Amino acid sequence: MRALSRDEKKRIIKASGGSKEHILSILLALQKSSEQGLIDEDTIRLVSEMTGFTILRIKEIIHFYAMFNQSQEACHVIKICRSNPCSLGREEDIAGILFSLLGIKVGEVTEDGQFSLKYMPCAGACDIGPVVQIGDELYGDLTREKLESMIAQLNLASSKEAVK
Amino acid sequence: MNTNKNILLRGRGDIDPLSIQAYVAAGGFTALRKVSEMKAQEVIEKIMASGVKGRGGAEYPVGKKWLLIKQENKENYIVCNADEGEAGAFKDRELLTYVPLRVIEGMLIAAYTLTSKKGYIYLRGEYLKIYEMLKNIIAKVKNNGYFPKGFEIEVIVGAGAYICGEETALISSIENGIGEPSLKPPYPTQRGLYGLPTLINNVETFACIPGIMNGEGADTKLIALSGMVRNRGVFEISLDRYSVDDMINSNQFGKGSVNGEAVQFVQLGGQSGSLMFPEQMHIPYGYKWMRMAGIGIGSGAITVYSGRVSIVEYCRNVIEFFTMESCGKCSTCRIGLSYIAYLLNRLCCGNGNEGDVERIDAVAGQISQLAFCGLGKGAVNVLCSALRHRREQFLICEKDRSYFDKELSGRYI
Repeated sequence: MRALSRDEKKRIIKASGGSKEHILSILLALQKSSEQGLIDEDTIRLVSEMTGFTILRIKEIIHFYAMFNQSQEACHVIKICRSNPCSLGREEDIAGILFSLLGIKVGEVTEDGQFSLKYMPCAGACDIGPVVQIGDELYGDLTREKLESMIAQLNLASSKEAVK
Repeated sequence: MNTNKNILLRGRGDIDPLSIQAYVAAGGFTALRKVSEMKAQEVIEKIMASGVKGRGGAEYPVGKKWLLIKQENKENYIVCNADEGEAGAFKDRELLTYVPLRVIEGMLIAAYTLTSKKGYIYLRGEYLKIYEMLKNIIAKVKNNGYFPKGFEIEVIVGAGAYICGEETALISSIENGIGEPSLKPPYPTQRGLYGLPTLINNVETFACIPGIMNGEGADTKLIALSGMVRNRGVFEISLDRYSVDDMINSNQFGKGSVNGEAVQFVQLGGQSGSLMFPEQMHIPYGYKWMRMAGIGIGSGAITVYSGRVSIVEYCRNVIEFFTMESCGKCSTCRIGLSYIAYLLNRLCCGNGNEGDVERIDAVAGQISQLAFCGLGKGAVNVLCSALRHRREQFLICEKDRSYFDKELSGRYI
């Protein structure tokens, strides 16, 4: 993804409601379309101008909510639902399987920068637990086999992207 | 055979959730039409007579809440609380995905009755997929002329903060971005959003309203069944008719536990609910019976755990969750919970000290009395019920340091 111009950002802010009340959806939309998966200083300044929130307040908001990133993201961030219905409600130990498949622990990034692991609070999909979230997609009823093929597919997708 | 009433979820899977025609053909918006010809007082009386209680978990009588707003006799707001953050609860997601129009109809009935200025749906950030859909359907309903004059409904998304489900925190999140609870009273019914009286009801509560107006009553409840049961999902059940045991084992609902393993305990209402043990599972699932046994139904989540799960480890996970989600405003919750998490972790890793269980018990008691808002008070429910019914398991961990398989405990970092 390339960096957005100021006008593009303005358009996103307007499309997400534009006003103070919609600050969270504005920031979520900006984060999603940003190059590095996080909201930079310039963007914060623009949001501040357009919504009337102070820069400090916007930074506070970004720190307060779990869905905002504080640092640059890997290509594929795998968020493991850590809530009890997912992690203890079924037999599969998803976190353990991912540790062994990727060779990293939660909070780490693989050497090639492709994958990172994170915990997330309840995804609200306990009926298909255990679940992980990658991007906006939820993957449920996970088993070792499913995770293996999922990671293989994501690797394939990234290498195609690189060829382009 | 399904002999259960189907009021809240009627049409789930059969009708297109986004089609107003289909909803009207299935009897939708008849309640709204009735209400537009009724006096506000009559509507509120009807809701009060149904005895419906808030479905988010606090069980506050809905009719009374509406009456309080009406009595303020001022401009007011209505808010639909769809910040369903409890692990194990996903019934609101089901309603908003499959029958969003019933929820909107409930909100519109409130808007007519209370002559509200504006409505909000506060949707949790994890349900982003529902967000666009909701905005579209609201615009459609408005274009079809179902909205009272000048009224509009705005959808606000959260960004992953459990605390925003607490009503005062929810208000502060809409007003100034950050969800911090404030002291009650004044209750939101007196001074809520932007200082005006505000009706905050759960998604399911609003979905109950059309049924009540159509004379179908409000004696069904949605349950979200998850964990070690074969058939997980959202079901609508008649209150006082089934026990938790029935729900786990009946072919209508859970279809038994996975691998036939014995159920060790069940958590009701999500992470902030209390635990229920096999010896209590015959109690009929209804407000009165459960209250008598000292258990709350809460949001309707029922999560089943088998014998593989250690109850101490379970409590540790719950408390760690709340430690993370604590907004940090009051020290009771912020420091108390991290202290309990530290002690529980010590027990789980085989490093417990003598008296740790006593310490946990004492601090949990203090938090439940002194926490500023419902988050802290709810957080220790799990410990209070676990210690009341299964204290010996905590004591074993304290005494026998090799009790835990360290491999297993090390799973969480």
